[in-house]
Amino acid sequence: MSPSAAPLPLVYVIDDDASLLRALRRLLGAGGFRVCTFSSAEEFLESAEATPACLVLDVHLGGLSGLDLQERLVAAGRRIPIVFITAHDDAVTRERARRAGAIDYLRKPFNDDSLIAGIKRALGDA
Amino acid sequence: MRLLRGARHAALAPWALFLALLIAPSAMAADGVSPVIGETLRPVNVLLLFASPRLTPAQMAIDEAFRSTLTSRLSAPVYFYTEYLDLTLFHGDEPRPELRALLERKYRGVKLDLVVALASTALRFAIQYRADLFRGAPVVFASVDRAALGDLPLRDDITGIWLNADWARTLDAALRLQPATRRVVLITGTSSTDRVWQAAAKRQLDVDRYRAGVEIEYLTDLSVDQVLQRVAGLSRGTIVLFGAFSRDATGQNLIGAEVVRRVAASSRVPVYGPGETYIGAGIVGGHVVSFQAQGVRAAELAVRVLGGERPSPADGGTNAYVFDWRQLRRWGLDEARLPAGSEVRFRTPSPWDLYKWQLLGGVALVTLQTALIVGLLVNRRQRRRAQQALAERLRFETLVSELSAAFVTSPAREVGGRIEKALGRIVEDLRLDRAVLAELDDRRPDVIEVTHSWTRDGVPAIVGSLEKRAFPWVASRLQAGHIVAAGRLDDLPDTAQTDRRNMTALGTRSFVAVPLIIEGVVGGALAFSSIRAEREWPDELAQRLRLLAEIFANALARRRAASAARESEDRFRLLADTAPLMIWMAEPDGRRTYFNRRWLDMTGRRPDEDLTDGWVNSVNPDDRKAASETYYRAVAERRSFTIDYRLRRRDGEDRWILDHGVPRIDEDGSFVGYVGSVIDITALNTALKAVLESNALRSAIFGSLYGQVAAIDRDGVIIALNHSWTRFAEENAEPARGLAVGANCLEVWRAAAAGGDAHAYRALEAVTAVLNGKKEDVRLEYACRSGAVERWFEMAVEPFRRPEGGAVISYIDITRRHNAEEEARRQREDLAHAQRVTTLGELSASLAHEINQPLAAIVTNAQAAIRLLERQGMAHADVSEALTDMAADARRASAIIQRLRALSRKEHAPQSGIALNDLIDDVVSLLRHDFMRKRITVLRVFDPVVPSIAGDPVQLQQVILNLLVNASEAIAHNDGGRREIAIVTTRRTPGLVEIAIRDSGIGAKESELARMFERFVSTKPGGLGMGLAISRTIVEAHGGRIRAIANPDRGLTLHVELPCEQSVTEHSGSPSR
Repeated sequence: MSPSAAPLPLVYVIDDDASLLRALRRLLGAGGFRVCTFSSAEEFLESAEATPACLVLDVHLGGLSGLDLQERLVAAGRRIPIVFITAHDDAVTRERARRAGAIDYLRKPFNDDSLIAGIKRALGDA
Repeated sequence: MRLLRGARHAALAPWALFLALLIAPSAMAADGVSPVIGETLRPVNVLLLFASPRLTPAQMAIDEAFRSTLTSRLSAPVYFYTEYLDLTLFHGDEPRPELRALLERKYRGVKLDLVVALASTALRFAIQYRADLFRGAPVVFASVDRAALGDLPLRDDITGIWLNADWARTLDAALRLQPATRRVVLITGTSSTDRVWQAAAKRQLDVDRYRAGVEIEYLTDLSVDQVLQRVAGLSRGTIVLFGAFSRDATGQNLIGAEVVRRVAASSRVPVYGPGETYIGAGIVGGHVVSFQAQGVRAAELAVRVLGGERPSPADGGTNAYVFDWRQLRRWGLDEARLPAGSEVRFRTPSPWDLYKWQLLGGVALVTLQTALIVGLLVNRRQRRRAQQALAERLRFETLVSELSAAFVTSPAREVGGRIEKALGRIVEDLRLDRAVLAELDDRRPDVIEVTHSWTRDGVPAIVGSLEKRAFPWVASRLQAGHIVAAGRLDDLPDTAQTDRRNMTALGTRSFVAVPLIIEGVVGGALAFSSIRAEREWPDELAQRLRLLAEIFANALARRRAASAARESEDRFRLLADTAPLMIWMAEPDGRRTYFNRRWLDMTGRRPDEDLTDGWVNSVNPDDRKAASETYYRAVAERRSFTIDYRLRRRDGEDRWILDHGVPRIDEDGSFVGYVGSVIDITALNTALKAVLESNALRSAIFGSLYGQVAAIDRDGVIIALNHSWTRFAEENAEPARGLAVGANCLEVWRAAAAGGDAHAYRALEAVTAVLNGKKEDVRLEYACRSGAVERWFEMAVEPFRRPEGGAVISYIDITRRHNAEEEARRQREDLAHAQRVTTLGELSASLAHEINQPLAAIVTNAQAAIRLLERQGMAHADVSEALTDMAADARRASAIIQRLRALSRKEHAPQSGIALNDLIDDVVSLLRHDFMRKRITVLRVFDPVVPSIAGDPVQLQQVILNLLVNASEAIAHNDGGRREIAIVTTRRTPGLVEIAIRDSGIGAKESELARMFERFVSTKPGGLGMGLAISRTIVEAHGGRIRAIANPDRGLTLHVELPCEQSVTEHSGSPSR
């Protein structure tokens, strides 16, 4: 990868676990992405005017859940490719996320390659 | 004072001897005996038993002759007791029980030396009862027809004089006087004695000797009037033979001599007879029995018996040809044809008869007259006295006879009056001034009470009581049984100073006092006194007074007995008449002789009707034969009986009655008849029928009970079992083994418990506790394996609520119930298990989430570090390796958590076509007991066409269960107010169904509503905070939603939305409550 390439894609990460959020900033930073982190869906909705290239979204959040946020974004017409991450994997949620247009659905703890692959696919889609 | 008996042997003046010859012919017989002064001798007690109720002329003759002969022959004083047994008045020889009781009482304390029985019935009585009543005293009889005794054996201490009514010689004599006689009419009465005479006549006259010459007709069973008619119609060539006649066919009791007087008066033909007492009453005569001779000869035998001899009964020798001169004249019969040795009485003396001695034996006459005149001149005073004595005696004899007859025939209540009248007559006849009958009173031993007295006008009367100490000497003499007499008070000994002084004070100048022996003891005294003049008390007179005293004593005893008997009888009748039941009494032969008022009132029969056998006519004709037969069969066997039959009431209505009779046994244990009671059981029958019907109903209920029921008494003995029990016992060995009616279940169980049967032990404990009243009721459940099948029973023990106590045991087969309960329990366990599993799953899911977060951070950090090192060219093989291992280990830890979660999650295969309403019903029924316990009403409002859903039924049930449990707990924590849960199912479009569970519980705050589905959030004290979280997980896993909304009034409603299938399932559960 060349450093002179086009501006780095912006990846938003929303997770209520601060430790994981910091780790993801490091990883994705090391992976060549611009990273913006939020600890809740509400924080994201309040502060993000810019449209991110990709959203890494935790399903289970305090307050508005990841799925709810997805619904709202869909409802608001903001098509942001989403990679779901969850510590609580179940078939119904996975299916629902997929139906709502999620690019990927990763169970925590996930592999760095899987995440980056998911994000790249999202960026490619975008 | 002298003893009268001893006086007879004082030197007698010639005149006294002469007088003795004149007035006391029996005294001549005293020659052979040497009496001793009476004081030193024990008195001889003699009882005279007369068969008849009174002194007939024949009996008077015997009585008179016997008494005078016996007293004259014995040196010891003789006390005569006299009983008129009235036997001839009654059928058969059975004495009336009252009579027996009376005699027993009277003679209990009397040592009788001799019993004299006059006539065969009296002898039978004496033989039969002397052991019981008379201490086995020897018996002497007179006037007894040998044939009438039949083959009754006579022991050697029974002897007497046979009576031979000599019909044959009488007839022979009649035929001699009237040779043309072709027909004989023989008349006898109907009493037992009369029949004895008739039987003797038949024995003697039904022989060839007479059959050829005369026709003999026996007239019996006729009334007196009929007899009179018959004899008035007899024609020439016929004669009448007249026997004993003490009762006629109408049952009237008569005196033979009176009857024969009327018969002879009416008869157109001569009457003959074999009885001496008929001579002078109108019969021509016959070979007659001399009753006087019977008495004398019996007394002679009695003397020998008392002397210790055992003479055999003597035969005859007491009969003689006696004819009435007037009757011979009346019928024109030739005296010359009389048998040799005939005595002709009542001859009107002709001048020849009167003076033949003067004419033929003038010298002798002159000598006699001279002697008389000399005697008279010498002892004018004595002569006057002698004449007076003679006259007195004659009058007295008549008086005594009359009195004894009067007393025995008079009712007891008239005894008192008669005694006073008698005293008056004696006073008049003996020209005395005062007569007193005084009785001893046990309660006042110091006095003697004057109970009857007669005093001549102008003489001071003695009334009230006399102090014994005023007359110590006389009282002691009387007490010892002696007669005390004093012609002059100076005759009294010196030791009687007090007596003399007090007598003088009463004005008495001369007196005689005779002890009154009542019921064997001295009970009083009879005293006569002269006030105006001194007078002598001849021996004979004193003896007559003793006889009189005896008559009075007898009468008084009779009155006492009668009053006791009447009192007892009155009491009985009063009781019987006022008793609320009908009462009858019967003779030993079953004839009912008494019916109380109630019986008479009921049947409308009259007491004067003949009911003895006629009572059966009051029985319904259909029942009469059976009732009568049963009755007489019982009587024949002398046993108690109870007969039920319909008795016809006076208004014609039949009443069902119960006739119960028991044999009457008197003190001696002899059977004396029956006493019976009759109860109207018509009402009772109706009531009984009702009871029977109700019993039938009850036993039908009892019998048809599904469970096995046994009733036991307080000792544990089984008194009733129902059909189910019996059937069960037949089909199964347990638990009814050995338990049949009559068995003691406690014992059976005790034995089984000893053998290690745990159920028996528990049953024993339970029943004992209830029987002891320690427990009101006990219920036990136990299994009972019969083969491969396990059956469950509930044993219930309850007290038998009746006065006698006991318990009712029932077994119910609860296998089905038990299985259902077991199934419900299993389901609850399944759910609880599911709950636990789900909870664990939820926990592990939570754990996985919580742990996966840091693990994810570790992995991500490690991988980020590797990438950063690589990017900066600082990558070192060892560091990269270490970071890679770190990430790998973190993933491994996550995998372990993941596996644990998979393990703890009970996965159920999803089903389709789940009927939501049925599913809810199932859960509600699981919680039914819980709701009932908490008194919560569950209202189900189900959409009947709610579509089916797909999913995990167990998980869905778990959701419903959680919501219902939460609702019920919310209500439980809410005191007061409605306690209701409503479950509503609704179809929502598109493709959704909703379950709304509304409670009236404590509710929740608005802030709580949002958080209540989070894990570990609970509004309940002690709640885990997992229920709703799990529910949400499940609901969401099924693609549904769950939320809680506060009700406007109170409580919460939880709404569960679930996606549904397109098909609609009909609700198959029970209708909404």
